[in-house]
Amino acid sequence: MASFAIGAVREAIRSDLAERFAVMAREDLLGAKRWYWGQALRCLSPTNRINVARRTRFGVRLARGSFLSGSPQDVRHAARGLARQPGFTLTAVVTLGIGIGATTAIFSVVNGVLLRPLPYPSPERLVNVWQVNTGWFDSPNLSLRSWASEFPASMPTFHDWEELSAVFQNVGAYDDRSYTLLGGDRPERIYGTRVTSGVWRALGVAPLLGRTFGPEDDGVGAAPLAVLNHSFWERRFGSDSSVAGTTIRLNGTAHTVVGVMPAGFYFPGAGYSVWTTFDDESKATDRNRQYLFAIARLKPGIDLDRAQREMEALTARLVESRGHNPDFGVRLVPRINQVVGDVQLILLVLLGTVGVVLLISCVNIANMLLVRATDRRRELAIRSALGAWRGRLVRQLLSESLVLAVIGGVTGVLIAVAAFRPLLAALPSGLPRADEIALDHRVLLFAAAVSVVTGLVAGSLPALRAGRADVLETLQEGSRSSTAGRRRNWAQGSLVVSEIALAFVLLVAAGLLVKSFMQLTSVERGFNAERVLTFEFTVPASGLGRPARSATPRPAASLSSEQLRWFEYLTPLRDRLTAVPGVESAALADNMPFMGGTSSGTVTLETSSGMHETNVERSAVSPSYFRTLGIPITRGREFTGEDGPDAKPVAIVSDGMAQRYWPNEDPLGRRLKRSTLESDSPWVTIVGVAADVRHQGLDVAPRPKIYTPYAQAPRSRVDVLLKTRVPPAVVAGAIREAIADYDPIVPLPNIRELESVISLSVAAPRFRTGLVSLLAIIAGLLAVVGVYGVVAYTMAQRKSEMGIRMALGAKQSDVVRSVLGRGAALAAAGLAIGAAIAWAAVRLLNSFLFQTSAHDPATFLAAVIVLALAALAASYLPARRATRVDPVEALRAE
Amino acid sequence: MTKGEYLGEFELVVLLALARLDEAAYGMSIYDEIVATTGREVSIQAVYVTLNRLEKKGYVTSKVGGPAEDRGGRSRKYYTILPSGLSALTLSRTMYDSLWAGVRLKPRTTRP
Repeated sequence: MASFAIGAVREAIRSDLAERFAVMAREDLLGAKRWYWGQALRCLSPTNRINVARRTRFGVRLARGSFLSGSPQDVRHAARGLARQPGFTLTAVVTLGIGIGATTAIFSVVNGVLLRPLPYPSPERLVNVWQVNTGWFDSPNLSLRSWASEFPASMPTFHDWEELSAVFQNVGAYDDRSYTLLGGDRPERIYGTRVTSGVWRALGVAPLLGRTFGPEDDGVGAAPLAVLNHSFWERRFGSDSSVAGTTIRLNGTAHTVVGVMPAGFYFPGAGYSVWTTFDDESKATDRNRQYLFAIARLKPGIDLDRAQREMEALTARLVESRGHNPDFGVRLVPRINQVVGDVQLILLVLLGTVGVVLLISCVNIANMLLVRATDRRRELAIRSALGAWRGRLVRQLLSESLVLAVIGGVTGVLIAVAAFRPLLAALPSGLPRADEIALDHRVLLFAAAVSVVTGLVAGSLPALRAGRADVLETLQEGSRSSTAGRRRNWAQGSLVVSEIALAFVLLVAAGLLVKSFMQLTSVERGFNAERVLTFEFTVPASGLGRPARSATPRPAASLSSEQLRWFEYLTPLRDRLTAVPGVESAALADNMPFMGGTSSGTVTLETSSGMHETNVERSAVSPSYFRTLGIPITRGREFTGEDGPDAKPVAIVSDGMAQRYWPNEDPLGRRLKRSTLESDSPWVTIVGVAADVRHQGLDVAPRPKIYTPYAQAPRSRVDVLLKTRVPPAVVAGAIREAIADYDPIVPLPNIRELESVISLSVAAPRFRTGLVSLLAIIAGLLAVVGVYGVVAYTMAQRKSEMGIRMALGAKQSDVVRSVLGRGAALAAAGLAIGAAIAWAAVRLLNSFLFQTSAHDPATFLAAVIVLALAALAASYLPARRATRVDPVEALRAE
Repeated sequence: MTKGEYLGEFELVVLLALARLDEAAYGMSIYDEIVATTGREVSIQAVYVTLNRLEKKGYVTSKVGGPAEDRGGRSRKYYTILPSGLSALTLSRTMYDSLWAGVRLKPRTTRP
């Protein structure tokens, strides 16, 4: 009854509402809208709700349906249409799912690493404060260059900042420490950070239990304190809430635990178990000891530029007033950039790559929809002739692509979820903030947005073309294929061309990365890592562990008593390790290849052209180091046990160094000083020349290097190397036992194969090469599918033409050639455009390429050949089918 | 007198509002009259549904006016009360008057 009545007076109601709305809107638009909708809603019975709502959008478009009106019908219509063609729908959904899924998965990494805020309040105000030394920017010394723009500060400089800076709300200093933690089942090696109380104030995160450090803990004489990381507290203290006040022994020093930080808190990175105060000795260090990192929180309202300017001004004043070293300037780096470092570029390149794949799937869908729209040309023309508003037809087609996109989006999210764990596992270790990568709401929102945009992009071309369709022409033309298709074919063709072009760009990128990676892994290392085990070892602090067994303490003028102790601790240990069954040789080095460190310093060389002061890499190694690593000694001899602390100082130089400084002469017997000429450092005689070794990474060329006997320059921290006769895993247990037997209180080392350490060093290039290659393959397949689709469709349309031609005596080969010709033409155009784009775009890859030119002709050529062959193969299938057209059948259809 | 000849409450309200207005009454003016005199928040749809019913009962008649300039070319539907409508009002008033007679609105004291 009500609905009937409404039907009878609907027009009158609508007119009245509109009229009154117009009057009211002049006074108060919002009130008018509210009144209007209140009235309109009360008019509604369930059956006519949609009807009224869609015709009266805020009374603005009352007469004609708005663009969005009737959407539910369109969606239903689209869904029915798609359900009728499951083959088409499945292909489209899978294509979209791959594109959206890959994009979402990569975005989740970008989101976790780059976009998520750091876990501190107002993280955008946190900065790291560094010293800069512009004089080092083009120093020949690699490590000085790398320190030039980020150099640590001294304790007095830090105090100056703390006291005088007008832009910092808080500033704190910190440095890294590794500790031997005593107690519990066995000694354990943990990583920690020493912090001043300003670090806690700058970070602004409250502890879960107890307290952090206050200003009173910063002074000389304050008791050593520790704050625990949440997972360390769980693991080591079983989440004991009364842990505050207990004592832990770190490197032999008792620290009182005062607090526990909440789960999810980390600083400076993941994996730090404990934060401690600085010891008194460190608190009193002078301006020459520059070892502190600094983190500051900017005052509210002060931006980075202003803070940088004010800190520069302050630094200039400090030179005058406090004796600040004038070589050093100051530089502020936003904390997020500090944490994320240089992975930003590669992540954005990967996101771009995956975006291209998405674009290709978009183009594929557009193509498929275009074909469908063409098939429905008559339907649309008839509806248009019957008075359907053109916008409505466009909308109907768009809703179809949107429905596809939404289903594709859901599939994509499922694919992303499925790919998530493998992706996480494949991420190179050492990727900052890897723990924060998650499929969170932001990622899902991104997937939703990508799906909608994809739907609109893919649907817009077919929809607009349908909107422009010439009704009369279409209806007159009947079911015949005709030249009207030429324009449409042109549109399809250009879509395929762009697909091939995009796929080509990715293939070139992948090819370059693969070539670069192969160069990288096959580069001459200068040593043999086969069957070599390695681990880090630190001599326990004085008074701990096994006492040094020096039967007759020898006078060692060149060594400090500490150094002598380290040497006397390690020498028997090396003998013990050499004696382990299966071990061929054992060696020590203060820093060995690929363990991350290098040390370099000034040396003075005695050459035929006089004294020469330069900067070279230095390494202190024990006897049998060269044998263990298989580094050939090209001249002279290796170090032996005779090269002890008190023996004549000797050195071995690298081949590169020998050729550079003693060309055409024998360096053996030449002397050098491990310092400046004026220093009282002893003269060292060169006794051997060793082959060049890549030390810092496969992609870093060997630098001139000198080796000194470990006995003449001992360190407490060493890398131990063991060449084994049997597979390394077999002896690892025996090695651990030997160490535990030698000194029961040292933490057992983490023994690794050198080969896997090297492999880890190329994890990042391996990851990006693998991922880009995978995406390029997907892109190539999608493009090939696109070519196939278009050629096959064109063939289906030209079936009768083929029939006629064959009836008139055309040979099968002519037909095949004509079909292949179409595929070849598309491929050629796509390749040409793709080559142009790739030529310009590969510059982005420059920093990732090793011994490979970005414009490597072989790679470009290979990509051309691969894609051209694939495109021809994709065209060949429809061509074969064309030859089987039965002329009679084809003509009958006419 | 059959049941159908009585006016329902809202029918009475609408019919009275129509009676108070000139013959140029259309939906929105009737709506305004009701809102203004009773202070009730009613819906335009209810007004029209009721007018429609009254028309079927033969109490009112309607005619569509020419397109008005200020309505964007849409026409109004004008309602006029018919003699039978007036007599229904009279009947209704008589009935209510007799019902009201003797009604005391003060609450009775409760029985002891």
